[in-house]
Amino acid sequence: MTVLNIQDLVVVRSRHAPPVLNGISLSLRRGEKVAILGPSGAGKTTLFRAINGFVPIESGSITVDGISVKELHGRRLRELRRHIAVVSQRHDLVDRLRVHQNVMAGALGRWSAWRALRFLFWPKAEELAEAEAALRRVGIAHKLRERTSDISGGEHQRVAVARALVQQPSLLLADEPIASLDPDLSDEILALICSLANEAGFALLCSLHQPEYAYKYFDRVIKIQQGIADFEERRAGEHVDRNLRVAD
Amino acid sequence: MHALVNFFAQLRLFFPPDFSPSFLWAERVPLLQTVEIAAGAMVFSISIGLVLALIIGARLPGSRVLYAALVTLRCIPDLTMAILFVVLVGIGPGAGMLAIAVYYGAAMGKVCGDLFVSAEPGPVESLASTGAGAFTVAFYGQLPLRLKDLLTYGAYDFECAMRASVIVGAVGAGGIGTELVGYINATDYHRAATLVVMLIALIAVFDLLALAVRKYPQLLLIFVAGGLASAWDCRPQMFAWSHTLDVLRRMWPPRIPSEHLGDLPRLLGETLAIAFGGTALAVLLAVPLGAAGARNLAPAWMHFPVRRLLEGLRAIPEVIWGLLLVTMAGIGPKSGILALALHSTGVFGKLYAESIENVQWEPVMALAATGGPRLAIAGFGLMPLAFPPMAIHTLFRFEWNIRAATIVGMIGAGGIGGALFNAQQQFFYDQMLAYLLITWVLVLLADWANGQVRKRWKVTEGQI
Repeated sequence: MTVLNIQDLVVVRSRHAPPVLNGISLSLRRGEKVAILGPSGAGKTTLFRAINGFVPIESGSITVDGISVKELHGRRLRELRRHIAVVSQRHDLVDRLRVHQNVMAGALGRWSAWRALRFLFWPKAEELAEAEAALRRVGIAHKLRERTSDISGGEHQRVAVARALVQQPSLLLADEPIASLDPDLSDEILALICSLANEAGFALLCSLHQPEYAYKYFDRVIKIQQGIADFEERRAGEHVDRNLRVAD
Repeated sequence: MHALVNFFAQLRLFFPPDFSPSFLWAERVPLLQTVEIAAGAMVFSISIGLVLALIIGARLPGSRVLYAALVTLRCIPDLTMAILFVVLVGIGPGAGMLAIAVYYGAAMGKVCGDLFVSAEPGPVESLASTGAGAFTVAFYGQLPLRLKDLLTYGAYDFECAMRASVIVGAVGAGGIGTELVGYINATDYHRAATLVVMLIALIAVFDLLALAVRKYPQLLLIFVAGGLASAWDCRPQMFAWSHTLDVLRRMWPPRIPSEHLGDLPRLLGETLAIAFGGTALAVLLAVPLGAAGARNLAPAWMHFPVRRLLEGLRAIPEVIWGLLLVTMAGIGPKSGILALALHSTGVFGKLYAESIENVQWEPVMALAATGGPRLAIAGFGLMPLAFPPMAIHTLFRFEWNIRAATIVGMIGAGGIGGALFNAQQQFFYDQMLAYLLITWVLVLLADWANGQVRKRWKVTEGQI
């Protein structure tokens, strides 16, 4: 089943500058793990933001779970975003909240505003249990009530992954999740999100700087340069997705 | 709340303001006086402040005593200083000018002294090794090294002093403030309204000037000439040494009659109630208003009018709010609380909105990506992230509001300021000095307590 389908996507920043993304096409099935490689400024983050509906689409299309992102606004867009979880490089947790609050931020999409605010001050036992269960899956259940500013860099990323799990997404976008981690931690985090993708069945799209990690953990690797998907490679023994084609 | 309802019910008495040409023409004199107070005071406070700062920076003998004196002098609120000078040199703009010159001269000396002391030691030492005297080293070393920060602070000081010059008149120190009090006492509210409008306009012009000075600090040099002329024009008209000496003699020793001593706890309680109540009420009002005024949180149709409302509240100083409220809602601390609350709401609202606008962006985007409702994202992301700067702003403003509470007391909100004003009106100068000293100790203590909290939170003014 196709989770994400991108066709000839073009994103421009201004009329006069060259497009940030210039005709990207790509498709992901449930449980599939794809890495995007490319230098800084290649358009990886813009691609993720476009999938989330944060940047306007000039031409082409993006669909997530069969819903087109392009024309969505307000409530409909927020409903779509619930299908997509995001883990990025550091700085995307709220340092001043406790770990359990950051984890349950993944539930904001299905909670009412009132319930969200109530949880900040009076969390219920079953909500805490859900946060703890998510933390157990990423291996740091004991950090449930810690201050987020007190935990280490690797734990920080695990909390971000736990938040993504709480969201129960069909697609996980990981935007350079290991950019600020040392090699040992990088292996741990990538192994973790890949095994969770197998286990929970969400599609995983992950941008990376380092080719060695991309080939080690992912089913497919796509290289982006100056807004164009240069070529794609696959790991030995796997089939090329027919929907995937190289843009002009 | 009753007082507030009363206030707004009676607000219509002020409409329409008297904009008749003859009245406006007559008011050109006090208006010019106010400008002169500001300009003259600026020249004095900057030149005195710079010399004092250089003495502190050069660590000349006695500079530690001087520094301590400046710190304590800064704890006499500017309007309290004005009332003291009214007594010493007579009613009129001269008193206002001197009060502002002394208060902001001390402030300038202290802050710029801090800047000089923290200048890089390297170049300063190499200058000293030429055998130059300490003052010369300060003038050629620390002054140029710190010029940029100095001008930044100078412009800020300029802004505060300009604003203060508009209100010192409220205790008889001349200019537009004295006129305003006169018309309010004569229950001529249409003309009082005109003066409030003029006053807000003047503050706006002063703010623009301060902005220009921030951008082109050289402008300060042009103001020096105008300031000297103004200072001469504003010289105390009724000044006589014999009178001043007589007043000083009658001030000493400070004394509170035994039958009034029992009132002291109540007076202090009222002043603290004004400061705490005003700040607390302002925080309650400013949190929702600040959120509604943040450009990254509220839609344009909401944040635009809210920001204008906050600017309006902020444009009217506490003392003017106090004058209006005391007239409309009655004498007493309640009016003082509301006066502080209204002005501080404007200040907090703007600062809170900016704190929310300046939060780290990535975590908020991550929350928005979960598809949660706007209010939930504000609660999980914006509010916790904006909290530290908001708390620091609140703390600094509370320090100021202790001063402001004694000031609005003088114009009818009661407390220690009210007692001071009554003593002055009845020529009981020994009592006046006693209440002035109590005010001074109160502010000193409040500053010290705030300093302790800041030390614990590890914050400095530059961190905001």
